[in-house]
Amino acid sequence: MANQVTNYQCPACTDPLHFSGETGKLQCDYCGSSYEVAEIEALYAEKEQAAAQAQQETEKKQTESSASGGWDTSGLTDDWGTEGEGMKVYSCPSCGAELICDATTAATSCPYCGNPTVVPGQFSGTLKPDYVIPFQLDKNAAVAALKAHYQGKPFLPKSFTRENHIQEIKGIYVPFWMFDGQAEGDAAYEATRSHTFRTGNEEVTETEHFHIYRAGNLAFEKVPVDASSKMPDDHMDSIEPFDYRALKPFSSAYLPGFLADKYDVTVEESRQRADARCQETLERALRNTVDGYHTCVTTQSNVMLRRGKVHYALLPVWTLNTKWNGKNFLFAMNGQTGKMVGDLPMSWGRFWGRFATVAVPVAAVVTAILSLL
Amino acid sequence: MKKKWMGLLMVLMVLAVLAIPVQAVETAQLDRVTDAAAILSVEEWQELEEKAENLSQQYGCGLYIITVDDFQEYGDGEIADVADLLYHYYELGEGTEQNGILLMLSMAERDYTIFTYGAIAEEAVGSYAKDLLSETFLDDFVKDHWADGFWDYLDTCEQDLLQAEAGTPVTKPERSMGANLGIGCVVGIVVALIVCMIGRSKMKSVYKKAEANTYVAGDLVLTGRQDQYTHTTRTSRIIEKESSHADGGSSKSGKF
Repeated sequence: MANQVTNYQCPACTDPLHFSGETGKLQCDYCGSSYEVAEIEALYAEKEQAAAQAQQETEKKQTESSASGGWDTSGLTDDWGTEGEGMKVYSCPSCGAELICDATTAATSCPYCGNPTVVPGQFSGTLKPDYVIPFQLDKNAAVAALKAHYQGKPFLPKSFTRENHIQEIKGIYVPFWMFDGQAEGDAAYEATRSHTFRTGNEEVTETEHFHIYRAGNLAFEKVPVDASSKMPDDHMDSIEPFDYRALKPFSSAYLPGFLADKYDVTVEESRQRADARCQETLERALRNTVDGYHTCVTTQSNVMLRRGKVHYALLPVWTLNTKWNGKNFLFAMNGQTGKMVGDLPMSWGRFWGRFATVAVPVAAVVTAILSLL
Repeated sequence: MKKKWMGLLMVLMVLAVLAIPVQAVETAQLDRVTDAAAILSVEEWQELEEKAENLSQQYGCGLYIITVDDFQEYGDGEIADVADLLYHYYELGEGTEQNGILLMLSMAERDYTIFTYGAIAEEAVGSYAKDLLSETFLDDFVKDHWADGFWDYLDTCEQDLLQAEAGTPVTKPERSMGANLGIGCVVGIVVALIVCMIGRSKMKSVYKKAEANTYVAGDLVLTGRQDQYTHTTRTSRIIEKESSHADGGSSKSGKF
């Protein structure tokens, strides 16, 4: 068992605690809370137990993942060969994150929850990725992109950008399952075509009704689904697409300086997400072949998915997790293309101020024009 | 077409024998009420004729009613064009300006037109007043209550002529300042909402993807395709038309 790091986190605000000789208690400089040593040790003992349990469950899932509901997972392996000799793993007792990195990189804090205490562990039984897209943008580019993300947002509170710890942005390789497969299906529609003409003093509209049928299939390659429960799916969807021309066979040579998350969502758990996206794409493609009509309504749709190979890949993401007014805000940037996403808080004061600034003069101008007419 | 005009004249002559002392007719003349479609009884015709004559003399503006089986037998174009043609052919109207208001019904396709000519008629029954006038008799004509509809027409024309004579012709009411302000406020609110919602939409950049278009390998392979016609539905609506005429006069037409 590795040695425990003795930096404790404040339960109220997550800042580091320090021991005060005066009071004999652990104190937080940020929020001023103080705790008995025994109280904090008991709290962390509980969290370590939860982290160890999470690691056991992940290892259990790895052994079960080879038989995953019809997907071809034959390519997946946990044999790292000689590359595994230089790899390290850390687990976070606060959020349960499992992070791997090469021997030259040290994990000083968890990129997901900011916990400064991460526990080194044994690197074994970890699935080796098939592919990786290396980071192409550095931390400076990520910081610049985040600053640009704040620009031109009239309703962003000023205090948010002031208090945002922008330099704490971290680069992490996020694990993804990539699904190959084929979607096959058919759909029925009711469509109409109208034309209008005049006869005497009447305007007549004639509407022709049609019953439409389409069937077809579409192949898909490497549909990505985020394999980390700690990285929200909608954020990972939003930073797509990654340019797969830069996809390389995995090598630990790409890891120095970055952490890589281990997957904790299995192939079977992820496939529903991939299935839904493939189904929607086929339905839209079939619908797009119905043209020359004024209206078209889908009455029936059936899609079947043929499952192909599954690949495991690490994709580069710069992330910043920040707290403001009691709410968490996550920003994510595609480490290859630079696409930055993250919902921003609203200042309702600024919203209504802008509303009044526009509404009053427009109302005055329209009233004046109507009075003159 | 010439046969129909002669037919019209025959009707006039028969009615003239019944109700008006016989006199030599040198030029073709129409009465105030010309019922070529024979939708009125003799008594109804007499009463309407008397009322129309009195009002025409009182206000110096002729009030006329013409019913025909099919206006297309009297001229080309729309019913308003035929009404214009008949108005000028029979030299209808009072005074040098030929002031007059003519209501013409064509029974074949159930068309009507209100034709006005001359300054007095145009002032009393302008565009807005024509809309209101048509509303007074259309509900009667829809139910084939011809005499009732014609009485409504004459009564409303009398009120319009009276108002015009008093210097307050029927016109579309002007919007009050309050109404202008209300409209201005609504427009201001809508524009401000649009601007602010656009600004608000910029605050959100995270969305779940519903499709996988970027990961499609190759094109869609269509294995089945069928477009089958089933049936046709037909709807129609009546167009009410307002028009100005080249030789003066204006009209409003529609269906009843």
